[in-house]
Amino acid sequence: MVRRLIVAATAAPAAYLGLLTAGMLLRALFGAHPLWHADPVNLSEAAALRDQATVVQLIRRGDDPYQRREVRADLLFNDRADLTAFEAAIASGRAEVMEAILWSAPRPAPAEWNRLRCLSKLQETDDIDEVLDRYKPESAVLDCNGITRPWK
Amino acid sequence: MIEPGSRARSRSRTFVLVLAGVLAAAIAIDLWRMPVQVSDSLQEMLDAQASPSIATSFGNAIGTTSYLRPLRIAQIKALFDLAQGRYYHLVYRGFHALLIVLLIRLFVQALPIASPLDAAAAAVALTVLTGLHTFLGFLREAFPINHFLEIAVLVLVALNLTLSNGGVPRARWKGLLIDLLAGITFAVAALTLESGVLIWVVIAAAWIVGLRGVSTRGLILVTALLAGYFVLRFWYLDTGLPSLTERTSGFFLERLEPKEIQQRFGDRRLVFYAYNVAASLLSVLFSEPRDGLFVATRAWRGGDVHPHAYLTVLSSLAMTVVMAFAAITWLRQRRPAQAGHYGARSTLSRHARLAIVALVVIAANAALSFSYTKDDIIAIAGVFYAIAAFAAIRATLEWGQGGVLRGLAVSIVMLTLASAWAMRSSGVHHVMNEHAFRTRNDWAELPLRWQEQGRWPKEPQPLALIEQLRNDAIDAEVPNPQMVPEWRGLWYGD
Repeated sequence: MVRRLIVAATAAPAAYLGLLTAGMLLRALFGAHPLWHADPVNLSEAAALRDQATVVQLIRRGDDPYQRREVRADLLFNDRADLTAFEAAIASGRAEVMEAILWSAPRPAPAEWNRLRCLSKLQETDDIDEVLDRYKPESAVLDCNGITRPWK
Repeated sequence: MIEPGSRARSRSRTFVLVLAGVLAAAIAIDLWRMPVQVSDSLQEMLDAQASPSIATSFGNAIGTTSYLRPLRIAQIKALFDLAQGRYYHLVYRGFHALLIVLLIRLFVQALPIASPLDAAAAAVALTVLTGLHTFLGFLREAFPINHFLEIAVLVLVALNLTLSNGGVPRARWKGLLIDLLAGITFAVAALTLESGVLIWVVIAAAWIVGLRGVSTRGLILVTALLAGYFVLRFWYLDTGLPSLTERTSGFFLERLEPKEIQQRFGDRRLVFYAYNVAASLLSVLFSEPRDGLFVATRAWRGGDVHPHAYLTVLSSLAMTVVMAFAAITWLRQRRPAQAGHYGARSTLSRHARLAIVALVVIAANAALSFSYTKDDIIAIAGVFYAIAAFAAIRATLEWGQGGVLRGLAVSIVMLTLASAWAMRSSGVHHVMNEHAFRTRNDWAELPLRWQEQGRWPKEPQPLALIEQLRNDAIDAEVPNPQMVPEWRGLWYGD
């Protein structure tokens, strides 16, 4: 009796782990691995979530980083927001994402560059300022008059 | 007719093998899903691409650095050629997954499982093996082969050789074959990484405690090879030891840059080396420090301790206390001389012998980390910590059968301890997810970073290789850790 109790108490957690893992493997067999399943995100959400690889992947597939898309509530802000991938990168303060977008997509026109640079300035993201400055179009002049953040 | 004892043995062994198989398969899938790593891997693959042959790779790696690891480079080249310019993921990630399955299979093979008590102890030992922080070193890193894992597999091969035939040398050609295998295992391991010399430690320690599946002749052969290794490395090639200025290092609560290490310890290296050995030992026994840095202590001082820190440090502390308890029990209950598998003068069970070998390997692995303390380097000690855990739990369970109250107490303690380790083991998948996410992003940024550093190749062949690996990585389905429930990060760490 004591022996059985000891064996059961000792082996139960590992056995339970084994059962859960076996269930996970079964689901993986049918193509639905619970831990390796990536929830689909759009380009702006990928930018907000520091996911440079998905940003590159989606731009390669033809997604336009200048187009506004919905960023779901709680991913970046408490409420949902409509942002371009550039804006999402600035709002989340991710310089590496900004660089990945600039590297993969057509360069911004002077007016758009000016707007993004001003948003970055408003957001006080110095490292994004540096990245944007490296991609500054020759004719662009920094003028932040009247530019406000498109998110709350 | 099957004897009841035989049936219990068979069932116990089957239970452990099934559990091991399930855990190994799940981790192998994680490894398979992970993209080939950029840092420490891509340059090695580009070098392999540029090398005309395996022999050239092997030859060029001798005497050119302060290390002697020609087989490491030759293996990378061999796998590169095997990929035939196309199947890089299949070959490198497949090899990594195969190694982890081998490690877990050999680990179980080394455990004497003949009863439900053994099976219960082995089940917990499996979670200790896969849940200890050093195990992650076998998974996260790839150069592009994880050589630490490779050495751990070879060390377990050596251990199983010493345990073969019940720990008694075989006669004639079978014995000769086992001794030769021991020699080959040592040679392969030692020429791959420095920690390969632990093969000798395992065989010698096992021989001393009476586990002599590798005979005296085999031990002499491996000792001669060890001597040859030292002569080749320190006299003939004069490769020396790594300098203090090669890497950053953790030191108590701070991380020191190579320059700082040189300034502080340039004229008193022994202090630095002693710290590294002690830190490595403590890391295996208590999961703290990590990479030489007392991270949990630092978090505690900063008032920012995550549940993960409590889980890892307390579960390791408790397991090490169980080991100490088992050691005291063995010392008190040393049985009188008994005849058995291990000879008439034997006074120690196989469990106790395994525990002694494990402790020797843990100490030796810590000593080998004298110049540089890192979780990956002591990962082999982590495997032997799990073996020691098996022996200690087995002894505690046996002790617990001495009365109802004792049994209840042991059951409660074991349920708690085993639950903590099962929780740690389940965290492996989360950490692998996080690492895969980072690796995939590394590939996305690669052209940018390498062009900034002036490392971007111009020739078409390396460019094609990079493009293929990058495409594979970017197209891989990897979940974003920011979209998983927050508790995972808090309990599993990264």
